[in-house]
Amino acid sequence: MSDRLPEPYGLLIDRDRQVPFQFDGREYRGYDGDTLSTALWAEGVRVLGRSFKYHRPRGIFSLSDAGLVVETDEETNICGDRLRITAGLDARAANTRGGAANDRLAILDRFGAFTPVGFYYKAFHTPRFMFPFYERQLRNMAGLGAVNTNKPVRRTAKEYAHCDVLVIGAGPAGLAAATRAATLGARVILATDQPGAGGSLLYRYSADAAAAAHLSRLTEAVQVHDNLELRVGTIVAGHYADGWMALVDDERLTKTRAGAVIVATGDNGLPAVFRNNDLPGIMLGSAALSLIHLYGVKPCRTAVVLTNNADGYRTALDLHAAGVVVGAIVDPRADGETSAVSGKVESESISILRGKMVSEGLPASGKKGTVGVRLDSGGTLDCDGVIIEVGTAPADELIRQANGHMEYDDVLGRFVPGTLPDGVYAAGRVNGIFDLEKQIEDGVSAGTAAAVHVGISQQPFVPRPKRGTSSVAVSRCPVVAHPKGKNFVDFDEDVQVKDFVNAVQEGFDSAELMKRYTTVGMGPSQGRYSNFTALQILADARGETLAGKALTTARPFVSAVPLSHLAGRGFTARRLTPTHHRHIEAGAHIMFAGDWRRPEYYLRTGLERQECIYQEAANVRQGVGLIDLGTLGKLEINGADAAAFLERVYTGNFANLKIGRTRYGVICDESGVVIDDGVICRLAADRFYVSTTTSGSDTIYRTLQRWAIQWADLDVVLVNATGSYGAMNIAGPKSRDILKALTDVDLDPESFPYLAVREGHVAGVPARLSRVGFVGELGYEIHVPADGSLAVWDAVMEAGKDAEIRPFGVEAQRLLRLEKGHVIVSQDTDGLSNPFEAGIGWAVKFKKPFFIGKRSLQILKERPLTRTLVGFALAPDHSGTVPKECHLVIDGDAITGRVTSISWSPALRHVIGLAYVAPSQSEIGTTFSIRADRGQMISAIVVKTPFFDPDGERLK
Amino acid sequence: MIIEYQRHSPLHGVHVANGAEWAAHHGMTIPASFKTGRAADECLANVALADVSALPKLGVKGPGAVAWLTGQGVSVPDTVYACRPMDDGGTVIRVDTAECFLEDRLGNNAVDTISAALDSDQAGVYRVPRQDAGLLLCGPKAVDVLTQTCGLDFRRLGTRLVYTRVAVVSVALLMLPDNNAPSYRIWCQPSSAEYLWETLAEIANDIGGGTVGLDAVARLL
Repeated sequence: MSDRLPEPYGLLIDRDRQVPFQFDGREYRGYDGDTLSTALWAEGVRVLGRSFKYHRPRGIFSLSDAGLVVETDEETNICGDRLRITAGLDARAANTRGGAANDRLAILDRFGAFTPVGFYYKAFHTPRFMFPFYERQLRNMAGLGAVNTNKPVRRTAKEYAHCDVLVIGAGPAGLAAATRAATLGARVILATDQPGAGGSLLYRYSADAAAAAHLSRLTEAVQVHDNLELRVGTIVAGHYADGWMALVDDERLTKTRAGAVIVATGDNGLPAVFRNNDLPGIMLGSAALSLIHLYGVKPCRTAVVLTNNADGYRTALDLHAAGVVVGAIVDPRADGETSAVSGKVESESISILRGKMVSEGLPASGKKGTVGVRLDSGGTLDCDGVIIEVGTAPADELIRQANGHMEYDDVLGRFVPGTLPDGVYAAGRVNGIFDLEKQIEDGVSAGTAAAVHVGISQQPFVPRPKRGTSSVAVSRCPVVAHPKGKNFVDFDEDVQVKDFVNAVQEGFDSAELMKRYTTVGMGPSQGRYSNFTALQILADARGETLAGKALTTARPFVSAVPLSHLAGRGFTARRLTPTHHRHIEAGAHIMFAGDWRRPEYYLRTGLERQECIYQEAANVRQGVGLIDLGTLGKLEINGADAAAFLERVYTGNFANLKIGRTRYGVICDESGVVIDDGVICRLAADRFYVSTTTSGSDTIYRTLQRWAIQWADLDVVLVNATGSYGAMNIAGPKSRDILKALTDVDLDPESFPYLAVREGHVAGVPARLSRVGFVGELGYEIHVPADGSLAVWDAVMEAGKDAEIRPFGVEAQRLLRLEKGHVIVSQDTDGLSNPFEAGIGWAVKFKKPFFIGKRSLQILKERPLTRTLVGFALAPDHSGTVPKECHLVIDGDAITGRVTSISWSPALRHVIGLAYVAPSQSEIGTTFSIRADRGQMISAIVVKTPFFDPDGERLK
Repeated sequence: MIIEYQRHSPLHGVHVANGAEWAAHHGMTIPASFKTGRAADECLANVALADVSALPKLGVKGPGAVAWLTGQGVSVPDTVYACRPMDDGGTVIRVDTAECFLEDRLGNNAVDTISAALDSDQAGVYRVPRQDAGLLLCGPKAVDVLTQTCGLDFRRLGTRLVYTRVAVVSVALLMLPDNNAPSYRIWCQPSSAEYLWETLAEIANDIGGGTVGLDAVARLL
């Protein structure tokens, strides 16, 4: 069986290309250009899907709603009205048991009386522990399909686009607006959710020669302009601040920045509310006309047209011309249509029933179709389709998302744009303009205004056409009550008239409250077809008019957007040091350090993580190790006042730092909190090289830049060299011997003592060498240009082969420095730590006239400490649970501190750590308790730091 | 004991993994071509991504920087972010009122000569170590790669340097006009280069392009 119409019907289909596809396991054929819904309808399939709650059969209603929601092996919850069929498509109706035609859950429809909206909240709240059980059962029965977690990953791009003017909707007003703005020189994007431009011109004005001429002229104009980009099949799903718009097509989400936005989205037909108004075969006039003209499909064989406006009469003529028997036009208005179109209808011998209303759709068996309608005056009419043309509501979601104000117009009987934000324009039917010529005029006016707004044109203001009367709906279509209900207002959510009545009775009597009570507008259609009717019902229930009323808040997205599009391609940056691949080759276990990837430790065959770390540390203590320090922040401070600048920034003295020497430095903020530390190397009188922590490099550079700008009196030039230099530390008793063979720098301890810095070459690469003691061994930090790092690393490793040099990772370094009692800023300090409590008060020099945080630190110094960082040890024979970092220090009932660092020390053979404790607990030899996992209390004793090599003999 | 050293591109590791055929330019081994992936001609017809980190670079900063460069015969642009070709080839970009960035063209040594003249005692003139990864994105679909990774309006980019973020990485970006389709130079921190390279290459590959060696894009350098 086929309900295809002959050419010229079917503008969008290619009859030369048949497309085989499957739906619910059965094979069908359509034409290229068909959507799943239109292809099935052409094949005589009337039950396309099932409703959300009652599992009622649903067919085509608007051709852009949730009547047919399908899933494939790869996608979930696809709108069948928009899904273009392709060869091999295998789709299944979502939310059914056994397919759309024979859904076993259809039985739920019989229990509708017991399941009003929110029944589960009222019925299943006790016993409380059972609610999850009920929830699972309800979710299994209701919903919109199942997510296939095994589906293949589909990579979706996200994209940015820019334009002067974005025009949404390619109907007569949109086309006119876009071409006008483009003519004036604006870069224009014209977006339409339809497969081509033309909008209602393609199907609603079929017998109108002037409309055809407009369509031809406007679509040709679109082609002419290089500065006008037409995006078809594109939903503008969201309108955000500053002209950011979300454009969604099959492939991607495009974040579009528009200088001005013209909303020419037209309007949406409203359902007529009567019992069984959702039966397959009952559809909006726009859907019927689209089926006929765009897809060449008969909407039905025999139709009843229910209308209260001229559009309905014209639709009846189109149906008649397409071979559909129009049994009658049912017009609730006492006088019916008075314009000329009424005469045309009568001349075609189509019966007009004035002053009548459909009160009930008469269902076929199983409600799988329509066999007729019952009239409110009694009597029935046979038909297999009811075409609804009872008025429209503006498709104004994007206007409201932009905080545009929509106000009710009594003359038009609908909401129209009131005050719109700057740069946002409405044109055409959404603007309350219905006459075709005026719609085009309105588009030209909006296009001109938009081009002027973005500064492209100085054209004078083009007056907007005045809103006249509507040919669409002036008089309201009655909402027909029925004792048995099933008179639906929102088809997505199966919301009936009685649900609104209940809402008002229970006090949910404002638009927003009613929405939440009834869930009207919460389905995939987002209330496009239901919000206005819902508001009308609410007003009626309250005995009010719509004047001064507002629709509910509109939020993105206008319609369903695939989550894959929202996710898009993820960008998670990572930073690598120049020698990263050498670490991988050496078996490094990589850890995250912010964006950086660093070797945590190097895996040795047969060893656990901790043993690997201990061995790396032991190798440094006993032989030699090499660690990559490329992540350290590296700054160059140049200029005649460089030393003065550092004096102001750091808490210590640097004016007296000799050339060729280094000094530890601490930076505090204005409140005296430690924010970073590092080593300051003086390379020349006016040149310093400064290291910062890995995490602090960018922040500290920005902070220093800010101060350099503020202290304009200082001659100082800052350079962020973090990425330009690689760095490594060769450490251990054998380090000097290995390095000696590779460098032209004299490493003799007399000429290059501890805490000195030298410039020279290592393995032929220009290098800065400094003797630092972070890990507590003889060692040299080697800083080289990034492009020479690999060569130096390889050379050091090669030269150290006989000495059994091994790379060591971050964890071994943490352990080694802990043995020396060195703090790590941000591990052993927090967002409140000042230098005195962190044990680095010695680095604060108050004799300087100024440094950042000095005033606060002076105040803090006069106050008693509230906590202090101490070294501690567990008993040498401790064999139980070992506390972890962040475990709390407990004194009686009080929390007095926390552990910041802790590890078993291979050098000392017992557990050591750093912890904040109360000052009263800080005396050497004091015992305190740490609450470990599961509340176990572990005793620790305060000991002196450094734990290892307290006199620093090994550094020399 | 001064010896010349082998420079390595920040992308060296990823090039090794991708089967690079190597060539030496300015002391750096850099892929001349790749054994795997799409043919260079096919990439160039759509979008090609190349590592041009080997080009010598120099940053000069300080109150005396512009005057010093002018004294070296470099015609420094008058406005910040403007760029200008150097007489001996290469490009000079004014990245701040008192800072310039110079990059040589392939096979030239103008920047090395200027760099050698810059000693540490020059008052008010300081060397900025520039170890940026240098990328070249070219071909008619180059802009498509960028629009998927960057929020800039590329049709209005002009020929001035832009600091922006591509795939969330901070970069400096410069459009090189071309009659057919503009090319784009991208400089980023060497530490971010591998991630950025892989991200751009993946997108380029999705739209019919891919990575190419220096041989394929030498005419643009």
